[in-house]
Amino acid sequence: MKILPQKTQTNQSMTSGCITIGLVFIFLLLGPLLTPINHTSQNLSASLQPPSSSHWMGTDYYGRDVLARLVFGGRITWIIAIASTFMAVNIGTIIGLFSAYQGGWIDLIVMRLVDVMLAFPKLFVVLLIVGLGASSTSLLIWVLALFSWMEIARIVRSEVMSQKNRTYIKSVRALGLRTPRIVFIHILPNVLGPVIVSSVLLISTIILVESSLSFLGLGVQAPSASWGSILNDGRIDPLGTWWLSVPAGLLILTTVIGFNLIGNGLHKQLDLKKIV
Amino acid sequence: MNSSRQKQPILEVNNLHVEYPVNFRGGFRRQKKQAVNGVSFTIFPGECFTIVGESGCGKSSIIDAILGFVKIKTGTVLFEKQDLTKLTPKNFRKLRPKIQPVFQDYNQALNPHQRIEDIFRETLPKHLLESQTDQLLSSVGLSKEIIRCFPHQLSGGQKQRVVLARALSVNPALLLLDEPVTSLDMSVFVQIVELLISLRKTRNLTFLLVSHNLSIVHLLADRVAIMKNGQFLEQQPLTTLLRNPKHDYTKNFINQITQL
Amino acid sequence: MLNGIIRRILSAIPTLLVGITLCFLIIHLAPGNPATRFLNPSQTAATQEIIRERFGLNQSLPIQYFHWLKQVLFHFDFGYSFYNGKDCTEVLISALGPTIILSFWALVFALSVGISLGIFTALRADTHVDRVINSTMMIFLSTPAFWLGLMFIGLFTIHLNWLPGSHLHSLYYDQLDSFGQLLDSVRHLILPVFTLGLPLAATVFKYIRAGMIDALQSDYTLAARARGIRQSTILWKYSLKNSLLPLVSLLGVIIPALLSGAVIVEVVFALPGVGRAMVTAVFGRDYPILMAGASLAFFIVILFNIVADIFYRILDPRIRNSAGGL
Repeated sequence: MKILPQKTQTNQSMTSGCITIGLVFIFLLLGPLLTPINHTSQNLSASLQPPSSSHWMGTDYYGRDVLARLVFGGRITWIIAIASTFMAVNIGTIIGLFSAYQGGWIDLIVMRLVDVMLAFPKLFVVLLIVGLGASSTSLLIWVLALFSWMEIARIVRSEVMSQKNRTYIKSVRALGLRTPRIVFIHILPNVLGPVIVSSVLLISTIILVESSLSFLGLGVQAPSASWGSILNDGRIDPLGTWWLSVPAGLLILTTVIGFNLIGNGLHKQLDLKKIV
Repeated sequence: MNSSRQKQPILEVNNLHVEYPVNFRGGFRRQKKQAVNGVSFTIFPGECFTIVGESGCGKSSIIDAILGFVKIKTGTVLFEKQDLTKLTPKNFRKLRPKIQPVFQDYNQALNPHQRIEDIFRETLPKHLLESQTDQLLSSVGLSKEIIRCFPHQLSGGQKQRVVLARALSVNPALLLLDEPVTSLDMSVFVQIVELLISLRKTRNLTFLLVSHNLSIVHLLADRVAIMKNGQFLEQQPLTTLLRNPKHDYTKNFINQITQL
Repeated sequence: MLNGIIRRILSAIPTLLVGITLCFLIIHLAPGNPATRFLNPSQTAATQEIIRERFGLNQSLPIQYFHWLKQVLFHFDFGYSFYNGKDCTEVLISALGPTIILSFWALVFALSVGISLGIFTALRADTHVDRVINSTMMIFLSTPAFWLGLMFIGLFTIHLNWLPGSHLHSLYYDQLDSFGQLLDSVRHLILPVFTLGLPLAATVFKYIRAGMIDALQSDYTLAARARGIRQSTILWKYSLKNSLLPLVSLLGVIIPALLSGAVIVEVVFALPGVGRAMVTAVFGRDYPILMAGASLAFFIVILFNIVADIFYRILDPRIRNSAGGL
């Protein structure tokens, strides 16, 4: 496994992914400059207006500015996705490291648990918990994280298992180094590559799950917004009120493609074959 | 060699059995593969004891067993009178520096994320770090310019020299050499063997060499054990073995040496 | 072989037990309380107590759990819906029909499109055709299913009025002759199946294409070509066989994705399936239905995992012939 950039080769999917994500990021960052209107201010007399000079992206049922809601909702979507990915990766890495290094029956039980949790259809379970609890953004982040760490744990575990028997690990063990030092200084950096790739891909998955939930009315709650909930506003006549359904959908699509491209690019860059 | 016989043995392996679990997908029943099947030998300070056999005969498992990397089914491993199989993990860790391995695959023997200088930082005391690193590197024939390098920037021979220097950094008494030169080019091969011979003299080292490469056995070995299917067929001083092999299997090996 | 299959099935039992226990725990430990659905401040304390007792909610969680487990395991009884008092098992079994039809055709669509396009592009790797198909598939892989469904409805139902965009049948279904009924059902299924199937097809495509390219460049393919074996034989006998094998284990990943997708598609297209029943139950806080539905979904995934494993063992000679294997 080579993590060190040995050859700076042009990596198409990496480049295009970074450009895509960069553009969406700039849109979210500088969006408020485009529209002075608050994303929650209602104006029922201007309900469902198509794009015009005062509302560049039109208005929704309550006469709220769609552009402002797209920017605000996008920030929520991104924050949820990145926060829960971050937590899932941490949980997964720690459990994976622990399980692999302990071995024996602890490893057996942990991996069985991973199998069981992977067998739950993700949207199904998250929908249950978020739907039954009072849907708050922090609960959403937690639940998404709690049902996303398994794949990371699996990857970390299998990488650690393969590193554990590498000659260099045997050699440093023979030097008499302590276990924590071996795990964190010698093993962890060498399993990070695959973990980074799958975390970037995980962001995409979580964005899709979150926007599905918000679309169903179970994720981010009004008056807050996410791209999924904005899309829900346009579900009665998807093409008639295209300014509600098309831009939000395209933004989700663009972001997911962007992160997928970066993931694939990193995958190529790091020359990993094992993970998909 | 006779003089060393009267000394206390440095390593004594008695009736060693090692087996590996062979797993298959999702099964409950675990199968076991016998890798080492009742092996005994004694190594005295300063000598080079060699185990020769085809790949897969279990010779590398003996090294793993001595280092405590595989579970020993039965048998004892006594290093300077201490039974390694009965030590607590903590005490074993403290004893580890005395026994250092050098493996065949030098490409995998160094952490790809660690600069050469950081390797020595892990074991050498801080105030002596620079002087001792220089000394170690020069003793294995490396210039000190390479300390800022990552392993992938070095050649195969250089890597194997770094591996040797790392092993020597903890002042071992016994080196376990597992095919130390087999993957190297012929010219580098000779250099490393010469290095091993000189290190053995200057540092007063004992070697346990495992190899199927007969040239290195010829150059280094004092006593030789022939191994097949997890067992020793015979063990003899090299000269005796060459003159008077007992098994047909051994004869085949010797024919190969003389043809070289 | 048979021995191994039985062993694999038995090994799923603890998994199943842990799984349905998790279902119970998830639902009962999730914030929010089942009793609140029926209680309100205007009731007297005595009424509230009766309601709690009626649904067994006055007992401690372990007792509720063991009672539920006993009913599920020995009587296959998931209790009655809080919402309309129907037997949960009946509700879900009647909802299972549309979900199975939808998922089955989506899977057939995904496999046929994914595999054929995967082979097609692998043989033309790095040409323009390959790049176009590959990028299109990448887009489908990243498209949220509900958005795809909405766009389909907007375009084909509302705008062009070609295909129906909701329900399994038309209102006048009963008055049609049998051919008309078949046609009507097919027309109703086209959009949902596409919506559910396209992202899956993209997943299958990705695996098949990568597997085929690997197989085509492998030493055994090159050696076969060097021996003068016909290209088509190489393709079918060597490359495809080896690239289909990972697909079998992919089934374990596809089935949960299919069930998750079915939830969305059933809601968007108003199909009376398990997914829609679950969403309705979530909004109505219908705990028995939720527990039954979650257990059912889990059971289906485990079942397909076992099937995939068994197929894998039958197809992969490395496992088939290993001593004691399977």
